[in-house]
Amino acid sequence: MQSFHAKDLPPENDLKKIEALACSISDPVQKLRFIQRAIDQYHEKSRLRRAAARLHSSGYLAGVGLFLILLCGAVMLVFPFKGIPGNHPQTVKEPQVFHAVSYPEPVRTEKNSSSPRLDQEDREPFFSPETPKYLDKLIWMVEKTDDAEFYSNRLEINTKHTIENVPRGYYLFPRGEEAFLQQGVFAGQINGILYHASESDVFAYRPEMTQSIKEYSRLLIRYLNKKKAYHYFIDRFGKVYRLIREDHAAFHSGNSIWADDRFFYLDLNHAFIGICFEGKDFEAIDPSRIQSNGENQPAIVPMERSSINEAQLISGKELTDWLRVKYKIPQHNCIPHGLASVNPYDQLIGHHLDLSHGFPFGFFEISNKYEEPIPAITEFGFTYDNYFMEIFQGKLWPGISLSEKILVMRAGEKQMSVADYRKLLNERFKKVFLWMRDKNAKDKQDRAGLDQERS
Amino acid sequence: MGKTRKDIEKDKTMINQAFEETVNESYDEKNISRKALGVDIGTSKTVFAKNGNGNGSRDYLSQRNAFIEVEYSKFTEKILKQNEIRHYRLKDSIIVYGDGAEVFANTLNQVTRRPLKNGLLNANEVNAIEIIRGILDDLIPDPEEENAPLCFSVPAAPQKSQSDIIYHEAILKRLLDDKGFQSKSINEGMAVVFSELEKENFTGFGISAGGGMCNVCLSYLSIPHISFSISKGGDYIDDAVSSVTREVSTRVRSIKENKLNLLNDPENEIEDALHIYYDDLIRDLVMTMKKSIEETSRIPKLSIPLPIVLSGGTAKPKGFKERFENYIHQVDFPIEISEIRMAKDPLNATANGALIAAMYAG
Repeated sequence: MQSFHAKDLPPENDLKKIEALACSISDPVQKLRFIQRAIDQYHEKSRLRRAAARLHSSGYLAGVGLFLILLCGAVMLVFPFKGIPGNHPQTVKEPQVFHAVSYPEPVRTEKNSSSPRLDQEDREPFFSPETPKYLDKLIWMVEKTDDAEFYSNRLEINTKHTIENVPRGYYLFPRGEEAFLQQGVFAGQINGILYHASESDVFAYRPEMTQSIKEYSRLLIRYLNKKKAYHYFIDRFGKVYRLIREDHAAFHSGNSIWADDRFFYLDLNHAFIGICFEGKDFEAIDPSRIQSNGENQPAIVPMERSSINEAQLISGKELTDWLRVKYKIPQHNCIPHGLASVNPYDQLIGHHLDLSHGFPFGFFEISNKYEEPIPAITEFGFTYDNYFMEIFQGKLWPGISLSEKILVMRAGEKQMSVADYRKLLNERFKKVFLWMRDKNAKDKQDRAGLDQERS
Repeated sequence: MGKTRKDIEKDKTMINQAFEETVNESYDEKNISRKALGVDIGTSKTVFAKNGNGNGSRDYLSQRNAFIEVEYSKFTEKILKQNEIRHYRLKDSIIVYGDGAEVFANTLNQVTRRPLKNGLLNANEVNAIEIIRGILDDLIPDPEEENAPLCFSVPAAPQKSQSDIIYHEAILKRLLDDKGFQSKSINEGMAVVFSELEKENFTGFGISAGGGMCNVCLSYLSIPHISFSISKGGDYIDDAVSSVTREVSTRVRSIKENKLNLLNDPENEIEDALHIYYDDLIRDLVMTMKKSIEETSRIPKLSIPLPIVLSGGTAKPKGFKERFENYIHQVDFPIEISEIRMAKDPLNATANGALIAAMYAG
C-alpha cells in the first residue's frame, strides 16, 4: 500500500546521470518525480528482463526439444528416404549492410566500357570547389580582461573556465595513391572545425526556466572540463566559453575520418577545433514503442527541429569566422561531428550522430556537407548498418549516395567488383589506422621516458 | 549476460525522457499537486500540512492525539462548548480529545489517554478509532475535489509485529478515503527524507523521534533501503522518569518540552532522570541503526558520506543532536556520515514530507 518501495537501482553510471540531472531541478516535488520516473522505468525494464530470462531458461530446453522433433518430422516428410541433402559448403552469414545505390556486376572487360558514369557535377571535384578558400574578413581582438576576450565581429569569449590538456601533435596522411601507404607526417597545426551538439538534456526555453537552464549549463561546463571534451562551448543563451586552450587537443572526436584535397585526417582531436553547442537534435522514442517494435528498432529519432537556437547559431558563426580567419581554415574542413565520426573496428560511419541532420550550413557560409562525399566511404570503403538506416528512416544524406557512386566508378576503373574494391580500401584503412595507433603509443612512451629523465 | 549497445542506449534515453517529461510538465499537473495534503499521524500528535499562499510555503495545523473520559453532565458539556474544546458524548460519558484534553486533564489533575500507542492504534482503547476519526475530521478540511491526493505517515514495522501495522495502516486509509481523499501511506522516516534531504537528491538517513517510537529510514535517490523503528520515544522517557521520580508524566512532559537542555548538567532529580533515559534512547537508536545496516545486504554501493537528519518532538530538546553525534562517533558506525543536522522545522518535518509525497503522487 505504501507509495515508495525498495526497487532495482540502475547501474552506477546511470545513477550518476540521474543524480546530475536531479541537481539541476530546484523544486522538491519535480525533483522527486524525475528521480522516481527514471528509476521506475529502469525497474520495470529490469523486471521484464528477469521475467524474460526466467521464461527463456525454463522454456528453452523444452522448446529446443520440441523444435527438433518437429524439424525431424518435417524433414522426413519432405525427404522420406533420400536423406538430407548434405555436403553443401558451410556459409557464414555476412553482417547485414545497406547501400544507397545498387551495385552492378563486376566489370572485367574493357576498361571503363560499362562502368556506371557519374554526372559531371558528381565526378569532379569530390571536394568543394572553392577548397581551399579562407574567409577573407578582418577580425581582431579589441579588448581582453582576466576572464573574457572581445573581438571586432561582436564575438565575446568567456575564458574563465579555460584549462590545459595535451599540446597538439598528430599524424596526417598526404593524399595520393603512392603516398597512401607511406608514413604519416607529424603536424601540430589546426586544420578544421568540428561542430558538436552536447546531446544533453534541455529545459524548455522559457523565461521561467532561466535559472534551471543556467544551472544546467554550469554543471555541464564542469562536466565537460572534467572530460576535457571540447575547445569551445556555446550555452543556450549564446555565451561562448573557451574550455581548452586552442594549442592543446581536446577529446571531442576520438574515432573520426575527414579529408581535404591534400590530407587525410584520422585524429581530429588534435587536428581540428571542437565547438560544442549545448542542445540536442535527436530525441528518444517512447520506450513502450521500442519494445513493441522488436529488437532492431533504434531508441532515437532525429528531432524535427533542433533545440539549438538563434542566439547559439549567431555566436557559433562569429566564432567560426574568427577561427577561420585566424587559422586559415578552408570551408571544406568545417563539418558536423556526425559526418566524420566512425567505428574503426566495424568500419561503419555514423558512430556518433550529433548534428548529422539539419545543420544550417548556409548560415555559416559554408557548403552543405550533407550533399558532399563522405571521405570515410570514398577513401576507406566504410559503410553503414541497418541501425543507422532505421534511425534516419531511410532518408540518408545525398552525400552517402554520391560517395557510393564514386566507389562504383572507381571499382569499375580498376576492373574490380565493388565488394573487392571496398575490401581493398578497408585494408588500407587498417594499415594506416594500426600504424597511427602504434606510432602514437610509441610517442607516448617516449614522452613518458623523457619526462622521467627530466624529473 | 551483458547489456547490448541498444540496451545501454535505451537506459540513457529513458533517463532523458523522464527528465524531459518532468521539466516540461504542464501547469495543470502542477495545480493538481497543489491541492494535495500531508498528514503526520504520530503517537502524540497529528500534524496536517497543506500548501500556503506563498511560493513553496506551507501551512501546518496540529492536534494532540490525547483524550480524557469524564462523567456526563449538562454543566460540563456547556463549559466544553463555551471554551470550544473538542468533545463528543458517549452514553454516560463525555470524551474530550485533542489539545483541549491536555488542558482539561491538568485542571482535573488527571492523566490523558492515547488513541495511539507505540505509533500504532492503541488496542487497549476501545474508542481509539472514533477518537482518531474525530481528530482527523476537525483537523483536515474536506477535499477541494473528489479523490484529492493525501499522504499520511505510518511507522516502520516494529520487529515481529508486521501484522499490527497492516491493520493500523488500513484503518487510517479507510478513515481518510471516507472523507473523499485518495490516500496513500508513507513511511515516517522516508517522509523526513523528502522534507529535509532534497538538496542531497533524497539520499541519506531520515530520523523521526516521536512520542511512541523512533523511525529511521535510509534512502538512496528517494528509494528506501532500510527502514525500521524502535519502540522507544518520548512517552517511554516520560513514563520511565515518572516511575522513578514519582512525578506525574504530564508534568515530566512539560519539563521535557519546555525546559530541558541536554547540554547542561541536570539541576534536579527529574532532569537527572531525563538525561539518563535520553541517553538510553539515543544509545538504543544508534545501536539499532548500526545493527540494521550491518545485517542488510540491500545497501547500494555508496561512494559519498551520507547525512543524517533528526526530527520529531523527542529530538527537539537542546543537546539531543550533540549527544546523538557523540554516540555515532563512539561506535564503529558502518557508513561514513557527512553531517548530522536537525530538521528545519522538527515538529512539522514528517507532515511536510508527507505533503511532498502527496504532491508527487498527485
